Amino acid sequence: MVELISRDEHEKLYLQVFDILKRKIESGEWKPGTKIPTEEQLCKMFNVSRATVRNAVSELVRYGYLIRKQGKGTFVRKNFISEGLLMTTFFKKLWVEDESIFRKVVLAKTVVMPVGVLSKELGVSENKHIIYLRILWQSNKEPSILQESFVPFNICPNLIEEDVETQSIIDLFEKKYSIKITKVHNYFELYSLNKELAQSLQIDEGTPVILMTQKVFSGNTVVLLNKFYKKNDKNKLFIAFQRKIL
Amino acid sequence: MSDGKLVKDVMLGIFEYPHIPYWYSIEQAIKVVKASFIQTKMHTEPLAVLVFDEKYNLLGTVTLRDILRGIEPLLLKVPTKTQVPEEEKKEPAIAWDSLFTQESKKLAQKPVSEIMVPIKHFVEPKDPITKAAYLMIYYELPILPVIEEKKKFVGIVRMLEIFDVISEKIIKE
Repeated sequence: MVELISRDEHEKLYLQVFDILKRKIESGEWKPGTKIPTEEQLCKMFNVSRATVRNAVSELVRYGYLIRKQGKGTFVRKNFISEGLLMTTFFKKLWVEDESIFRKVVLAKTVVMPVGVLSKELGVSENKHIIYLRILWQSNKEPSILQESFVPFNICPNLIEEDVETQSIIDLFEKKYSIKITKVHNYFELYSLNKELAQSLQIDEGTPVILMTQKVFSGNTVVLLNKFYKKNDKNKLFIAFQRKIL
Repeated sequence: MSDGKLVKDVMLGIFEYPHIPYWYSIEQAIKVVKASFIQTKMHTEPLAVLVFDEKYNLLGTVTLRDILRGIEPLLLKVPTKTQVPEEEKKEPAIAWDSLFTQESKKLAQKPVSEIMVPIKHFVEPKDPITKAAYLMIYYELPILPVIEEKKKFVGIVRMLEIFDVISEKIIKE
């Protein structure tokens, strides 16, 4: 079955193609190990440009759904994640083993425009207003983790008025504003902070930190983007998984 | 003259204008101007960006003129308002292609707080628009913020709407 893409929707074309192809893999229509159609065939199938197809396929490669084989083509990955163990975890506002030793200080709560990478990560255009929060997590009065959070203003305009020192954004979303969180994507990388952010963590500019970028979705929309910068101290980032009891 | 119209009757919502924090660089402000006004062809005249602090208090405004002035060393030296008599004003000898070059790229890394025009004047929503007109003309303000109970920033007044209301009565007779 060929799904059609909608040109009326604001969602970018390549993201729509990405979603359709992803569904083909997840539903088993495209079996693991099989070769997917060529770029040219996909262009015809969706009536989109080569660049759109290329972007969608590159994203699927990045997410681990597809694998490129030099000179042979692009294939559905065999060891795709759905074949692994299904485990669940609790979504915590801070990914550490013991949250109770951390104290939260809100350093900034304001509105910005998402120029550059931020607009891509949030999936919104650069002329949309974004609520910006900067939160410092201290343990034993020492700064340990710096959090930057970005929420598209239209998702939750009232967030700017909320007390985020005593409440978590996720709790506010779920309990007060009926924004249901459906999935979370986490990315980890080594990162060095600019002078301004480094100062908050009391480290030198350029000192390596672990950056955990967290995309929080409701449906296919990113409703919250968190960036946690963790400096090198005795605290560790921690995630516990548990086998789902079926 | 203004039919008793109040500021709240003519003000624009604050989200008509892009928001940035004071720590954004001039380069980031340029990108914001391009994304919000130029690429979208949304010409909310006058083109200005609102600058806020970390507690979302309005600190100032940045116009296109402030940005270009802030990245050209030669223009930075010139006083904002001309303080020399008309007849003495002469264009300095400038090699035009020496303006806005490498040095400007460096200056664009400065924070916008260094080039913004701080907010000194504002009106309340219940103020008559004649007050807004007076302040805007007297102090040559590109836009005038509307602040409720001296705290909450709720709107923007532009010359266009003020002109419209005041001129209406004058041409009516």
